[in-house]
Amino acid sequence: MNPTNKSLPPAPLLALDTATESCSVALTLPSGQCLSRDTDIPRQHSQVLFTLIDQLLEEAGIQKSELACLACGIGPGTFTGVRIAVAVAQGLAAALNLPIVPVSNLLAVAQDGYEQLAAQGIAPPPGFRLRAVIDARMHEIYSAVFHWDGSALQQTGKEQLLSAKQLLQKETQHPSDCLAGNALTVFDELSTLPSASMLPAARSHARTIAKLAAGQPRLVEPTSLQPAYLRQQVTHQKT
Amino acid sequence: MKVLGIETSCDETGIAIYDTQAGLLAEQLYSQVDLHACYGGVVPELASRDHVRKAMPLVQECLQAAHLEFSDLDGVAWTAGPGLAGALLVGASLGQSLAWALDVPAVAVHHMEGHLLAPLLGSDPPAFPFLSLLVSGGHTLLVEVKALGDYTVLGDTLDDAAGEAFDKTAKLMGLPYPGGKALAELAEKGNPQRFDFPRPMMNRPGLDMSFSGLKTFTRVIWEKQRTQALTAGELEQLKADIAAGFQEAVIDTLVKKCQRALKQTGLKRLVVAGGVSANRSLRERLQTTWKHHGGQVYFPPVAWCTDNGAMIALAGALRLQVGQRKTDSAIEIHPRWSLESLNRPEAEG
Repeated sequence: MNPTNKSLPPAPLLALDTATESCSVALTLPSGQCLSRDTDIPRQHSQVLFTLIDQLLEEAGIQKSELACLACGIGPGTFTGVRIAVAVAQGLAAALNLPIVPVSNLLAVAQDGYEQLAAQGIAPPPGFRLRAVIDARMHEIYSAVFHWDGSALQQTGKEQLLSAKQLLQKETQHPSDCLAGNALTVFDELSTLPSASMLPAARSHARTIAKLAAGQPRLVEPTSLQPAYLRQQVTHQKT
Repeated sequence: MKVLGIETSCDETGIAIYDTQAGLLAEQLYSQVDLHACYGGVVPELASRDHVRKAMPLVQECLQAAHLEFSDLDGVAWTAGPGLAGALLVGASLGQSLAWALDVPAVAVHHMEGHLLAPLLGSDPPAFPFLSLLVSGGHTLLVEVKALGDYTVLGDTLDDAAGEAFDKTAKLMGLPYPGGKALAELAEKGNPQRFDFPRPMMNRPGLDMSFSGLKTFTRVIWEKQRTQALTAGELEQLKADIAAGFQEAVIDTLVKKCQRALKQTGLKRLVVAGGVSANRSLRERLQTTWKHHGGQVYFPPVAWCTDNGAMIALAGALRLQVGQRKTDSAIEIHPRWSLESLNRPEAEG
């Protein structure tokens, strides 16, 4: 393996996503065809992940030794889910000698939102502003803003952990054209925003992660792959 | 057969490679103690985060140290429980992933079985059957070990584990976390007779134990004595005397219960494992007592008394060697898992 920052990820590329409510895997073949499998059963990601991968390889008729690259949703999402994807990707990459493309789950949600608009016949113009919002529980939201540059979504600013109030303030000051993600189903107050489009069903999926990885030249070594939690405050120090 | 072992059940990331022919080939351990010290105990989420940072690099360091490639591994074992679910999941995810990618058999190991078998890593391993006293921050167990997978729990603590009682007592007197070791050091300078500590459950039949009463007893003395005007020297001596009295009460209880267990089972060999087995006074008392009984007492090297990857690699290797293996591809964990629910691998077909 000789990952460089210049080369694009090779195929077949196996993508994993266990960071959110659905557990999904996808396989991009050298032909460009993408196969995928998923399940929405909660808290079963660890039970079914390898079964889904096996099914996918069998359907594609390829051996694990033929894989050329991995992609992995690194969060933000559920802490445990993110770690399952990262630890599994680390192991696969190390044992099969593969590079990994880390993909943000917020970008995956934004990309799904963009594709939902496209499916509705809406062609977002360059500069179109889309905010991804993932329910972070504990009354908070994982969020990031993206712009459509005519060919891909580009992140504007940092990924953040926000309260609904903070998010409302930001959107009031600088409204997005579209909000996408499951936080819209959890936080009723977001429905008061004047955004033209609300896409509560936009979600992260390995298929989207595989697609995004194909356009991302960033390849990392297994030990460099780490979760992006966003929430750092997980305990209170005793005084 | 070379087996990779992964331990991430609590606050130690332990990785090792055990060869059924050549023994332990390499081991790496990363302790998170400092990370949790300022919280006064293990914070599960922080533990999980550290495991996912450290486990993979330690696997690679182990392979390098043993001059092996991934493809040289014949099996993978990980601690599936008992332990913290999030922490266990990191080791299980990595372990299952490596086993799947390498097409080698995998086995989910019981953490306590790892501790029970750890003495077999030593140069003079005890033969089956033996009695095992497992004393750590999480457990105080007396187990009859008849064979691999054949364990009968004879006695258990009804409340705090012995190591936990050490840590809590230390904390009461303001010693830094984890204070068990500091308490034992302090005890060396103290007079165990100054305070008349109780010997819980000593007069009751059976092999169960209880240590939370000792902690309460300590609190009462500590609160009462320290309110008196004491010089710095007197305060230090008070701490040392409490530590000595406390430690002696714990050791008396453990020794007495071991004696009863040996009498009850007719076993001659006693193996003492777990973090508290590093306690010098406990070792001396058990050595003396067993010499007197004509039995043998075994202490695994201190490094294998606390959580480590070597004991998991060993337990996994022994099970894989006799043909046991996981039959599905689930990332298997059992945060709660009874030791007695394990079976001899032969019986599993």
